[in-house]
Amino acid sequence: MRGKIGIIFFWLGILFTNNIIKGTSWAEEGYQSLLGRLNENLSFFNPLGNAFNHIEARIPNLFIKGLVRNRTMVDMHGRREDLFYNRSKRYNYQSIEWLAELELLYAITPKMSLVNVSDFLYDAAFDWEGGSRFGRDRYGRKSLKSWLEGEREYYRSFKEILRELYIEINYGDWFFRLGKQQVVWGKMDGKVTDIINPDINWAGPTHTQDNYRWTRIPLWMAKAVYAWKEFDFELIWTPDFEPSEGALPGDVFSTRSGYIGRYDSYRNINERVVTRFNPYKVGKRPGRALKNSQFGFRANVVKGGWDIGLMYWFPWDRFATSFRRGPLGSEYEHTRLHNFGFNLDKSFNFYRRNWVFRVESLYTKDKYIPTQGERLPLHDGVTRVNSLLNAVALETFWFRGDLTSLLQISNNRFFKYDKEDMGPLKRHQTIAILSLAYAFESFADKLVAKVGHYWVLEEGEWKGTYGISYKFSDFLEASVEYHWLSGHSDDTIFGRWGDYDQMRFQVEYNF
Amino acid sequence: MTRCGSKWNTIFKGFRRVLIILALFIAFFYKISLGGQWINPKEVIGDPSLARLQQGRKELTPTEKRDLEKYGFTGLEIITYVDVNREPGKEDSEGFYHLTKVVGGSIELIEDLRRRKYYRKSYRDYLTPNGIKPGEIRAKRSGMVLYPPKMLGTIWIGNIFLWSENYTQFEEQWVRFPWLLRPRRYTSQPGESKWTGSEMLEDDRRKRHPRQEDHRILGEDVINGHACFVIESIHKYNPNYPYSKRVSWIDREVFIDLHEEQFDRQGRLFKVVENKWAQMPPGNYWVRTWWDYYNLESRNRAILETFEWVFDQGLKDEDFGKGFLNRVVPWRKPKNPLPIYKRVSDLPPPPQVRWEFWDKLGLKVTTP
Repeated sequence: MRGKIGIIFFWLGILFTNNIIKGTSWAEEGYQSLLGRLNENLSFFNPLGNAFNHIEARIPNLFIKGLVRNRTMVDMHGRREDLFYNRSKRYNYQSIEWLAELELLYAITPKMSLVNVSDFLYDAAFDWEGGSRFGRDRYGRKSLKSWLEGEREYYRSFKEILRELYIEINYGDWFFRLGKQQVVWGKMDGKVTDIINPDINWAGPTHTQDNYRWTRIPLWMAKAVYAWKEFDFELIWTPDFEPSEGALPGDVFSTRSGYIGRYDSYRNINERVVTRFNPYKVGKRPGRALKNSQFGFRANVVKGGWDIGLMYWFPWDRFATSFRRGPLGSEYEHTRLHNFGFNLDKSFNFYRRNWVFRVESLYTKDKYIPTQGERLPLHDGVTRVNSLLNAVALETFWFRGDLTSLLQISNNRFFKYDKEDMGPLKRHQTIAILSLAYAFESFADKLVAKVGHYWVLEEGEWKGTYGISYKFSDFLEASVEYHWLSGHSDDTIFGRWGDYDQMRFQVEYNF
Repeated sequence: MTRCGSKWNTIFKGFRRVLIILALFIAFFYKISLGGQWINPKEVIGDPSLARLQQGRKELTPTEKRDLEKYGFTGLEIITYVDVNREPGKEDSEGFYHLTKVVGGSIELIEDLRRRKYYRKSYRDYLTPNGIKPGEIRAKRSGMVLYPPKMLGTIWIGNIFLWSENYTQFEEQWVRFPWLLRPRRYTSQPGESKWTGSEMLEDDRRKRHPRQEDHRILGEDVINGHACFVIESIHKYNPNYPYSKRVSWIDREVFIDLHEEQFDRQGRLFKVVENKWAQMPPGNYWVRTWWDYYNLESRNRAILETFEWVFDQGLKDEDFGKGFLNRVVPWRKPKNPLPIYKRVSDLPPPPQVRWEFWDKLGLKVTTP
């Protein structure tokens, strides 16, 4: 309740402030002398950038950039004991994430460049909240804090810290990129055909697109693009494999308490001893043989304003499938998929306004999912399905370009499952997204307010995000966002997390 | 070898060296000789009726007839000649853009590298029935942001269409931001919106077409030693356009706009613009190197400087296609970066209103 009242006052405050500022001339002496001087002094506050400028000046073709960011997620419902699955939470901060990134771009020649991105992440919530961070299960047992800290608290391995390292070569109509990189396909907001790299999504329903760059897991890949007039053709090959990760047991947005007890099924893994009990890493990884590579292609043409693309991707499923093997327990294995994608977009002028229309589809073949219903003997507990994800979006500007609106509807449908009456409980799911962003002209577009609503039409559950961001200077930005999750406790996407509404504060320094 | 043979051998070697030097000389200057030279817009268009009666118009308005009789030009004709100069280069152009935006004391910078390729033989093709038709691609553009750090690596491509009253879509564009990592088609901002929140509208910067306004010649003036026509322009199609009118001072010989004053919806003079142009070797194209927009009411300011221009490099279609959006590293850095204004007091004096002209005309002009 307090969150909802807070939101109302928040928006009233924005409207009030905007009207005050709008009517105020920056030329007023008193106002200008105090605020003007503060603005002027903040304009070039860039200590790290100034230090790196000397290095850039000595090495002519080197560009150095980076960021330091704090993202703090405050749980608006605080400590609670009566949550779903008899869970409890005894923390106020879901995350206090510090991220530092350094990016080096070096033009070896006008046609060849070397790029390196290194990140370091530290989540201070583990230290701030101490042992109460993870709560207790129905038996009053505490989760194993230490192993979750090992996965989440900070980047420990070279693989995590060295995010990207690749070389780019332009050769006539060809473009090559070789090394550890991220490849993003698709035109739509969110992930429709953005399926090449696995990712870490511990933030569950509060995971937002503006953070995808840091949650994707880069892979060692070779990418080749051939561009000829309106056509471009892209080939990707990678011998590398990494599984995706969701929230780990005991994590904020996990449905599992994280307790590893005597009868926990993870102890029955006979494949290999997993010391950290990360359920996303227990799957049998594909070997290093050439036949286990992942590869794909994308073909694109722009003709008459229509931008049309087709793609094919042959990956390993990034989530391991648990095959029930009777008395031997379960066997976790990554399986092969086939992904076929299509996308299209067009910009046009209608009613003296510019619009962009986008369509994107992804057909996934041979995906294994757990079956619903009775666990019959000799059944392995999974069924193989095909799915079709379609998305349509329409975007335009209003009020002289100050307001941007995006309407997007996506539908995911499962079919052709290979066992009768054992298919997915939810055969299809439709999500509608309405997103608005308003840049305040009185603040010269430095102040931007954003509203986003996500509805799952079949269940009625929804999420609202309400935020403002302010750009203090070319180097410093801050934002505040409220994530409001609503629905029934048995809903699967937003509803069950209704007691996990979040206020997110972010300060970002770019240099 | 005989003494005679060695002598011919020496002559042959010398001749070979001369041939190599000649070949290098031709190769070096061949590229430059392919590039064009600046031609006066009047000569580019040739027949002045093409500039006066555009896109199917059959007759001049009474105002235009009066201007033609008094000054030898119509307002639309002069504005069109200025538009010709806004497309320097014969085939393509590339240059750095450096924007200093001053808002409420805070100073922001944007620097980017921009390219443009023209899909016409000359500007005349926009005006003739056998040239480019409205809705067809008249130019392609691409570029990359170099500064600020967060935006470094932002890359875009765009197709610019020939505007008409019946075909009003200015362009289609694709942008890849460093944090999204994928190219995305974006809606083109309307012409009346502010460019990056600065005092320049999108129309001021590049989107305005001469036919979107009604023009008339108010008189003549001399500014910074240039004899100028003073043209009043009023937007025809948008009743809520941010300006009720704008008045431009245009050099009457080479048709470059040197000064502009913009009036708000209440008819008050609220923005003053000062432009500087320079001719760039080797083609001597006129390029606007300084655009200074100053808001008299808010005292906000936008100064756009352009520098290190290169023309007619023979850029290919692929430099403006989707494949180009894969780049993350700029292909050029400024050789002589511009100085950065770190204090508002470091900025040059703002543009001034031409009160002398308004007094001469006997017109009362109010400011906020």
